[in-house]
Amino acid sequence: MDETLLAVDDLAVEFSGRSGRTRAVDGLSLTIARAETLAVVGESGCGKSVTALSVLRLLQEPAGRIVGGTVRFHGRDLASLDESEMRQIRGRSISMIFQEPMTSLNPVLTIGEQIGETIRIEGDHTAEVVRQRALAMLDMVQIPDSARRLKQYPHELSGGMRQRVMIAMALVNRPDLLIADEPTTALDVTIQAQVLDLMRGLSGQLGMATLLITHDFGVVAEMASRVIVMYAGRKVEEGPVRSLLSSPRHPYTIGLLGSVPKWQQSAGGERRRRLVEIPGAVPALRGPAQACSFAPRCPIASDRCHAEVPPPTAVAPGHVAACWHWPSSTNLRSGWHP
Amino acid sequence: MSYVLRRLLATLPVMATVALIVFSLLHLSPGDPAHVLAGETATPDEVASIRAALGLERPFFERFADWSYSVITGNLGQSIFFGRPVADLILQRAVPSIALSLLALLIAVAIALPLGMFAAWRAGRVIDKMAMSFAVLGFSLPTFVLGYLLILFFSVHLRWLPVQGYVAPEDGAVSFLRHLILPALALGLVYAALIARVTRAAMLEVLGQDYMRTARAKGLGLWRMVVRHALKNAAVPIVTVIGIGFGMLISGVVVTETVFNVPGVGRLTVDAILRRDYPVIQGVVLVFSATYVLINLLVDLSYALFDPRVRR
Repeated sequence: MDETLLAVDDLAVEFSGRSGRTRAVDGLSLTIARAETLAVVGESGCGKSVTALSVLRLLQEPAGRIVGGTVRFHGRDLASLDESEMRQIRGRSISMIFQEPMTSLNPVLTIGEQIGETIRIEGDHTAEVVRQRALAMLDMVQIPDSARRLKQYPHELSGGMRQRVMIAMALVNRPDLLIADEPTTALDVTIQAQVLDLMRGLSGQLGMATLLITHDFGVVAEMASRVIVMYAGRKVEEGPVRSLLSSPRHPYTIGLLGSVPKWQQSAGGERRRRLVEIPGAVPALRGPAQACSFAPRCPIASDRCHAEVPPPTAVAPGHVAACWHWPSSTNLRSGWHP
Repeated sequence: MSYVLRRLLATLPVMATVALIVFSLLHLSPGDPAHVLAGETATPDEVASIRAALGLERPFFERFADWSYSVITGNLGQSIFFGRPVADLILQRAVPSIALSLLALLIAVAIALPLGMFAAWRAGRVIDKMAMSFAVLGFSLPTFVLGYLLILFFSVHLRWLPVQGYVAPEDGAVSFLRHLILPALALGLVYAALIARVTRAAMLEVLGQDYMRTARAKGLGLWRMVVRHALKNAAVPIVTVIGIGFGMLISGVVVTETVFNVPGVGRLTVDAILRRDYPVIQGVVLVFSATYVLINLLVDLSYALFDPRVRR
């Protein structure tokens, strides 16, 4: 039953630029089972999008490249495939949707052509078959008036509609895995909910696994069964959604959850809980981490945290945290600032 | 379609201005136009008769209006040297020039598009730097120098092609092409260098766009990604520079026809200037300008073909 679809093991990704090399992902491991939804959460720059791009080998090479680890999909290491072999996987077995629905569609090609060409990569079909499948796909993502939409260009569609088109395009060849990189971040809140509902419904309907990249715990709670929290290219905590959201163990996760504004009942009636911010910013790594990279921003960091990388430690069934002080981190939950 | 109409109307003031400048060429030049036309050795009687024929005693704008009317009806005046209508002279020489420019354009686009696209695809690598050095070299080399180098190599050294001259297409298609290849190459390479640089820049910009990442994520083949997705987006700046560069092509035609001894409108122009045949000079300048405006009108209209957002 719990068959592994994707297994990323000890992935390391580096970018080289004018200021030298930067390690964007450092020793990341994750697995996704068939039809499972895994969320990867973290601040901007934590390496979550790079991880997503690495799976499909869409990094801007040679500036960004995988320097270590394996990405096994159906047991086959994607990191070792060449470009033409990857092309057989992209859009067929693994699809991806991006954060920017406004710019992710080609402005000079019709919706029909952009969906149609995706249908054609999977096999030769007559124009009529392609058209019928494209229409069916637009109906599936609940785009009304689909026949007219096929002839339209992206600038004639709203942001929500464009993201639906992106989803239609991604799902048209029934992939086993959908990678969704901040799929709703650029959308209005009401549209967000509709798109998330649609994605959840379709992944259930098609038995498709999802790797969901987000910074929004609301989206995580709604969509995912398991969560990975990333910080500075490393996994700091991983667990089932319920366990991780209700009892986070890593100070960073606790801080992130504290950054989400919440309403809380108190004796004096309803009042707004303080929005907690984590001081500082995500550091850029030059090479493999030598210490806990969160230590400089962590309120409970000790000397050990500055000297040794904390290993992932089981804190509950299926729930691991990479923190030397996880037993005492729960104290942070009442107020992140010590 | 209002876009087409707007573009069409926009050419009218341009053409009117060009006509005014061309007309002034003779009538505002220093000295008496009748003296200029009659030449240095003319007798006072000849000058007087020319002045009467031109109606020089009438006001400038009245004469301009008359002249403009006759130009619109296809009458570009009489050549002083040949004593024949200027329009006939130009039409007679149009075929070699049109053939030369079209072949040069074809060569330029055929070289520049693949070169620019390939350079963008391999941006920053050795092959890109080599391609762009070639483009700079092509652009810095004057047409006549390139023309003589080509003659020296292909005609004198290798003896593959005729040195110069022209054979009309009705006198043999192969011979016609053999005579046109070198001048078209000399003309086209300079043009190609310009187009290649712009193609590279436009493609480079497009390749970094989000939708290109989407195209890759969809598993599209290289050809479809580059040609259908990228080139169509890069087309607007590329056709723009083809249009602007057409001016360069026209001046190149004048030089190339002289170097290769092709009896086209360019040669007619040079000869007319040397003979001070003002009506012919006016006529060819007008025709060249109209061609340039027409080409750029077509370029403007092609935007709507490439980019649906322009059509509004």
